[in-house]
Amino acid sequence: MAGTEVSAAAPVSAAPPVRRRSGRTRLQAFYPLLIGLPAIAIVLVAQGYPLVRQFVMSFQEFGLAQQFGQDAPWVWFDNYTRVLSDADFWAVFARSIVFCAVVAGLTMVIGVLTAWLLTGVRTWARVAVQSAMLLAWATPHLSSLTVWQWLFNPSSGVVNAVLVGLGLEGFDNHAWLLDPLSFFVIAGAVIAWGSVPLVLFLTYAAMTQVDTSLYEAAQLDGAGPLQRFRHITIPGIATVLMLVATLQIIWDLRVFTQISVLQTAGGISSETNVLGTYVYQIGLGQGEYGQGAAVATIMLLLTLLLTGLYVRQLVRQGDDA
Amino acid sequence: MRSQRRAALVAATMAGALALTACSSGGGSSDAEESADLTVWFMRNDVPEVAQEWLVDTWAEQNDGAELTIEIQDWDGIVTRLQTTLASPDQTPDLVEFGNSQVITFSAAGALSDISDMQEEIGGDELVPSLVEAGTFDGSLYAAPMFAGSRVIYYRESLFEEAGIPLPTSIEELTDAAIALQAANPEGTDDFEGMYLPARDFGSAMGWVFTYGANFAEQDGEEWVGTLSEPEGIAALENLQRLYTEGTATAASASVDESRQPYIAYNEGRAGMFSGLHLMYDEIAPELQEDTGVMALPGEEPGSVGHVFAGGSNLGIPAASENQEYARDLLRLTMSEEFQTYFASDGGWVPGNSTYAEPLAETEVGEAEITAVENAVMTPNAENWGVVEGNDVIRDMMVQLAQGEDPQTLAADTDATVAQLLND
Repeated sequence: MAGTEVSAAAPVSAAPPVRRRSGRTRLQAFYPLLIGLPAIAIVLVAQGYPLVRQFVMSFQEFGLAQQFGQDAPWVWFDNYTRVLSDADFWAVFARSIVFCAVVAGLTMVIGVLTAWLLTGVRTWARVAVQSAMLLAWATPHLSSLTVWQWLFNPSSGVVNAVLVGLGLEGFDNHAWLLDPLSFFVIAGAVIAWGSVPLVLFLTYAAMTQVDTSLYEAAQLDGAGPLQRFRHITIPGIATVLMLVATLQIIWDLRVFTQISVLQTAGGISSETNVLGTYVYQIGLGQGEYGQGAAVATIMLLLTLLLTGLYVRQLVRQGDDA
Repeated sequence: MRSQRRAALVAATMAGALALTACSSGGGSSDAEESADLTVWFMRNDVPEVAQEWLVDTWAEQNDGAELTIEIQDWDGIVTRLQTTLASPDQTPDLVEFGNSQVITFSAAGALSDISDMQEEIGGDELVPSLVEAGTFDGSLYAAPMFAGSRVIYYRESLFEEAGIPLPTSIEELTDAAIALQAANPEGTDDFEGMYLPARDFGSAMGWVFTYGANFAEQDGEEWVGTLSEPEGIAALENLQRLYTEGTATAASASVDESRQPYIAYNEGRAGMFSGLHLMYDEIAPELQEDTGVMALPGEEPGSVGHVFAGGSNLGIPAASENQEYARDLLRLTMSEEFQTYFASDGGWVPGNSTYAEPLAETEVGEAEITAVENAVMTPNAENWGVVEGNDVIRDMMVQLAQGEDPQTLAADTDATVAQLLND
């Protein structure tokens, strides 16, 4: 979208200085800030205080007794040393990274391919798919989790019934959630199911903005649909893809609800913890707020690192295009 | 191109904002005068309706129409909810019901007011001893015995008769009976199991551990030592594993929710027996109630009574409550003859003051319940025991046992984890 830029600050340097106008433009320069102010204030109040508190607490001995009024002594890096020298933590860490990479990757691939498919189908089919996706997206986590639990219920679930019906007797009363691998397959499916729609909507919207004359030109040059997708669609929506992928990675890295619910539905928590549930277990479950805060801070640094890498790439791409 | 760059920065800011997450805890206090308008937390299904009404009405009568608000809480996640609310004068209730195995965690953390001076007045020697022990820390009483309850075994009399299996009189025989009953499946029911005993119901499973004379930990000087891998513990786990793998079908796979409603499988005819609280008798389908027998968990020797987990609740006054004197008045009221008797007559529990247990002995279930409570055993009275339960240590182990993992290894691992958590 080259050349469509209208900068709010532009007139200041461009227009001849007339007293009345310059007053207005100086005010105009503050508009973005004014509009942003409430959002910034909300973020500062809602996220700033807890963040500072978490950071401070991660350097203190803070357990149940401190929660009920005793002094919290400074232990500096003790919490971090304890966490980082704990094999459990590294198991959880590795599990979270792999799980996040697989689920976020899958979500992106399915979402983008479906969106691309939608650009080539009739209106009724597109509307039908979009409506279904909207419903899936709007379903609260806990409701959809209940349905997924029913599907995979060992004794009365549809999945086992169908598999047994197909002659696979081994799936009679098969408990999917007990084995960590199939636990994460189901958890991944639930999470991807809930996040594919947003990826689809955003990328589809971006795809419709790509200049159609480019496709026509490519077609005249003899490019097939796959080539057009690869060389026109993908570069055309790259910015949106980056944003969506970043969000997916962040969300999937700190996933909590789905894992926690599936753990009570049949998963063994010590074998299926990810960073989100691990922080909860250490901090609230064991009343070790200090250590929990340390894990949460490590998690935050990891997220910032990932986000930073993407933002850098994003900004660089903006310059090149 | 600057628009794209700015879009990228906006996106990054958005992503950053969405990425941040933390939880906050409230704070602050005011020096308000004591108010007789109190809030009390009871756990779901514990205090009979009539008792609640009586308490609210009597409180209003005795305190010039003061309002008593009863809030019913769920057991799920209660420990973490208490950790955050009890610390805040603005949010804390004035009187709280605790699970007896959880209360020491809060007594030790300084979350509760010392009520030692009230012990005589609220029942003295008549108080259920295991609950007094649960409410005591460092020689002081922090939470009053509210009521006790324990699991009993329900069974289908007709199925035992049809299959020609005698009723078990020892815990070994109980496992044998479940296995024989499952093999016999007298009514030819699909997916029938001898006993419905989900491994996630670790409260029931503890009965096996205690009956064999084992426990999870004992104190050695200042340190706690895990004791499940002693011979008694291994014997318990081996019997339990045989029961899980041969006498049940769904032990490993049943979810936490399902394990809370063991009567569902039983009501559908899919189970010959189940282990549950006395109040589950009312959940049994009317057409099956006639056919249902009740017994306390049998012991090691034929004819003896086993040792189930001593279930029950204690009542404590949060130290952060601004209405300490009124809260003590309310505590007196909950320990009064009238309120306590409701537990036996309508709740089916053994009252914290056992003087008032009489109405309970009139039913078969009540009788089995009293026998079970008399022989019940507590989990280790360690400051951090709540952490062991809260982290699913026992629950996970039982599930792995049901999956067929080696009892020796499981016991050793559990001992290590329990010791680490208790000594932390």
